[in-house]
Amino acid sequence: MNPVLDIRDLRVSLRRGAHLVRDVSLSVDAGEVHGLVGESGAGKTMIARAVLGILPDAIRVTGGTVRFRGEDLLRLPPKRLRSLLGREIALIPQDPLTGLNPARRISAQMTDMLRHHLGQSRGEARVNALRLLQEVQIRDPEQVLDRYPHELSGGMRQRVLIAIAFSAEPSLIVADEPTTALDVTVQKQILRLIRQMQERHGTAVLFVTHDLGIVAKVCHRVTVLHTGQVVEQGGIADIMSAHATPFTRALMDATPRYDQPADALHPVPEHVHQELRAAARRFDEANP
Amino acid sequence: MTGARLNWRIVVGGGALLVLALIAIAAPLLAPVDPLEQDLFLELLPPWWQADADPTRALGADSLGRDVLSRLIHAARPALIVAVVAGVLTMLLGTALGLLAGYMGGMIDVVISRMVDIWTSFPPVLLAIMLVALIGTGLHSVIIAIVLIDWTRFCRVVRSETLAQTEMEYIDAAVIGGLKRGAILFREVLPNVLPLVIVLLTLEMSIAIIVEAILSFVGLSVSSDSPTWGGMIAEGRQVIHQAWWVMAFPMGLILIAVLALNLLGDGLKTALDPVLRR
Amino acid sequence: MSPPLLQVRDLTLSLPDRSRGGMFSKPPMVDILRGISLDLRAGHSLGIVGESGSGKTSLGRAIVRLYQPTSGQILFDGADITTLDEAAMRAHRRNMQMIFQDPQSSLNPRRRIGEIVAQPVLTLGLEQDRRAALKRADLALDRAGLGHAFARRYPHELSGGQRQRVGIARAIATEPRLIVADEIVSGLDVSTQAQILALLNDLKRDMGLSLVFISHDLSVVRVLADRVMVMLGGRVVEEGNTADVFQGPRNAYTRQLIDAVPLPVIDPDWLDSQPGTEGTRMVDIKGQTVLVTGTSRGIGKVFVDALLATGAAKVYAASRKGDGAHDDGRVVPVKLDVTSAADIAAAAGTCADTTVLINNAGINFNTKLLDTDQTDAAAAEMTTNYFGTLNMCRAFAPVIEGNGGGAIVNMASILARVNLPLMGSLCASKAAVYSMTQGIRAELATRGVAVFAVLPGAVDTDMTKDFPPPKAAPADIVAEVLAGMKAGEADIYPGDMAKGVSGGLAADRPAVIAEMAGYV
Repeated sequence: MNPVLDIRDLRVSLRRGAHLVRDVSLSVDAGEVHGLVGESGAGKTMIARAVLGILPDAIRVTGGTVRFRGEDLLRLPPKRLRSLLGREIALIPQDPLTGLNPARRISAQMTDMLRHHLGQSRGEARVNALRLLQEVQIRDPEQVLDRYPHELSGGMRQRVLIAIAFSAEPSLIVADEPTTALDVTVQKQILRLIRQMQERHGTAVLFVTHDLGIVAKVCHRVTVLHTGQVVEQGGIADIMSAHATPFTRALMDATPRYDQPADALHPVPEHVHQELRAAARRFDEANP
Repeated sequence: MTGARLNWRIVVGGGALLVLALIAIAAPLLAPVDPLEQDLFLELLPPWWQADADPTRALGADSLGRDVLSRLIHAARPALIVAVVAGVLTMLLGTALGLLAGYMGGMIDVVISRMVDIWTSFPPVLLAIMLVALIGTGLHSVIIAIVLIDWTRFCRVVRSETLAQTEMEYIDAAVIGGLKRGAILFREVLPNVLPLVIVLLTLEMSIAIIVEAILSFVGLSVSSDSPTWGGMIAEGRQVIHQAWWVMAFPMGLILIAVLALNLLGDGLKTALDPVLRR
Repeated sequence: MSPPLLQVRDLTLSLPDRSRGGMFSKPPMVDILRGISLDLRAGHSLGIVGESGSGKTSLGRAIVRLYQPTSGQILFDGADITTLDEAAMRAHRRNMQMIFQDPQSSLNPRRRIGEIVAQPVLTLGLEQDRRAALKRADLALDRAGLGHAFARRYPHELSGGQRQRVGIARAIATEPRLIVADEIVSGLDVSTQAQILALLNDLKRDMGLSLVFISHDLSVVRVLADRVMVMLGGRVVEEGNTADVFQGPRNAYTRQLIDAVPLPVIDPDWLDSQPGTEGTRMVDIKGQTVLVTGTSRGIGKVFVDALLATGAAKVYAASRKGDGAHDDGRVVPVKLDVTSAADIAAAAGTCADTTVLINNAGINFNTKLLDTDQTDAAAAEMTTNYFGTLNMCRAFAPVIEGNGGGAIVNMASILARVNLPLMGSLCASKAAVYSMTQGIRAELATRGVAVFAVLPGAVDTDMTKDFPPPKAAPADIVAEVLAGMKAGEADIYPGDMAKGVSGGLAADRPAVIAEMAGYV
């Protein structure tokens, strides 16, 4: 089976030359949740943004391919790319407040998508928007449709955004730290919802997160990043096992757990970071 | 306050202003002739590069035969005095009230803010003309008018910036650190508001120059015999078809002064911000 | 034992809700904290966890007097600092410092690191001159693992982790005894976070610091806190030894909170699991049909009114004489002696729509255990308090289950957990009730009946007029029982006395027993 998303040797660099993503390859199959894990500066957000074609001005892709069902997104004409985004590739953003337009009602923002991408009439779109809100387990969908974003709680807004993301039945969803802004009990509900929706629709999900706990609970496969390089890639069981690479294991040991006493916590040893930084430097010397 | 680094905007803007200031200070020495001296034989004499020019009247003469260059030089004095004195006084009044409103909150804030609202609902130029008409013409009246009208500009900006700063946790940290209220205002809040105030000051000075020009244009500034840029424009307007230069040169100078101030303000904005400065 | 370094007593805080209220009308006040009490001993650390809106941050700020409490008391080292003005407060500030959540906004961008750290040293009078203060700042920066070379830098030149070390250096520069740390690692990467936690642990040990550690992250709290307090809606729902609370939470909300933390462990069932389906559940009185025993006087009588006020659909007011007539039409008097098997069987028939059973009936004779002439009294206490309650549970558990589930509430006493010399037999019967309640809870775990044990301290009723104070008002006890049921607390400890004893037993059992021995 061909993967839905196939990234090969992706290189992302600052316009001034420094590399941010160093020849990263990964693939996401249909129905699979692929975790993209790393600390800040590891390059996970850059990869997600490169897939969506929304890199900041000062940053560009300098190498590799990003194939979505065979088509290289990096080389598509802008018009074709625009027709894919939203319809075939959707985003669940990090901040549920800025992800919605504060000046427009939920109904307008939901039906826009359905009418624009799927060519539905106003009436059809409203019916479908209601159905979608029910699917993301919103209790009074009629009422929510007539609200403005600031009138909803954070968890509710994220549900709306998930409904919008799934509305056009996309093949790929990029979820960019979708629960960092939420309370932990709400986070669990949202994670559950994303998995349920993803399983029901057979969607491939690229799940960006810094939290190994979330990875363990929602991902099938994982790519661990450090300084824009792949440190480790594999099935979730391998990553969580004792056979994981030193960095992944060190990251696990540095993650506090409520079920373990304080002395089980060990900060990531400096040499682990240093070795990976040295590898990044060697890459830069070989690829100026 | 930390040392600001120079950038080209500061150099160019500040340099131009420095030259203007030196000209104003040394006006009696620099002016080739007495700006008030009339010579009807030289009436509407063109500047030096045109035919019929007189080398002693480099920028030509006005309808009364007065030397345009000398008048321009002397007129820099009232312009810059108004800019500096009115600018600084406006800054002091507006900033003080803005800090007070933003930091104290409560009734004080309500009273000051409503005052600002009422104040800004009057058209400023008309208010200025009314004020000057009320307290009489002269440089001091122009300054008073500008201060009384434009303090709201500082007050608004400083108040909202102060409010934003008081939301910051370093204010709480200062309370925990035992700093008194007044000390927090002056040592923690003010340094963070000051760069904005300084940038605003350059803007206010350029506005003051324009207001002075407008008031002298309508004859409400200094007495009509001493030269002002606005007054020169007013006189030049009547002979615009025969002698464009009488009006063009003071306009050019106002333009240069305002541009220089804005450039300086822009430069200071980046220079005074420790984050942008990097 | 020396008094706790920090004591908070019944603290409430109301703040104006700035999002509402018009231009001229005052914004309405919202209750942020509703009656918080806590003790923190020197050298210990207390974790405060909760979600957004729980009031945890406000509590931290109220402790260091960044917020002025509406009522209640804060005692620092025995001194009441609740209403000190800022000048008087300054004398205490060097001993209680704070580390802030956002190292970006808590460091003045226009001041050098050295000045920032030296500021409190100077203003709080540890050093009189600037140079000495800066020297102390260098020392603090070294101690915070940053190095004094950073003193000349500006905050924006530092990384997030380094900035948080500056925040720590500033807090320890005055060598305080208490530090309130508010979400200090929430914005940091895991590897930086682990370093900061390790640093704080070292400082706590080396400097003998007491720590109030506020976080939404239970795992982070486990690293630093000996004891933990779980907050919800401005109240404390559970408090105890950190390891105990996280391993065996008593409160349903705590359980839900713990369950929601994704541990880095593969568990395919986690996403679909729902906490709180076993054991105690949250029970709201609204719309329930409630049977209360012992309603002729004392707490039972108060219960009836409170249940009506809370919206119960029907209240069976049971008493030995059946004299519970009431103005409210929802009250049905029932004649029921809990020591009579026939009465109980009859009640189970006539009150077949009961969904909540409150076993309140009880007697006390206040007798010593070894007084041989008091054997009958001991037996009577056991018959009413223990067997009466047990038989009611046996009769009504199937009734409640048949009505789609509900709750059983057994009124025990704090005496179930500590025995007083002059009333040994009563204490023993209450201990039996408490133990039995836990057993019934386990047996009913999967049958939709929540089981609550209530362990109040002395209550001010005509039955307890021999007891010395402090005694709680019955209405307060009842209100706390209903609130505890709503929050799903398995064991409800109404009143300060009960909470204090319960907390004390967990912290220092012998001390409490010694103290209680002299109570009567």
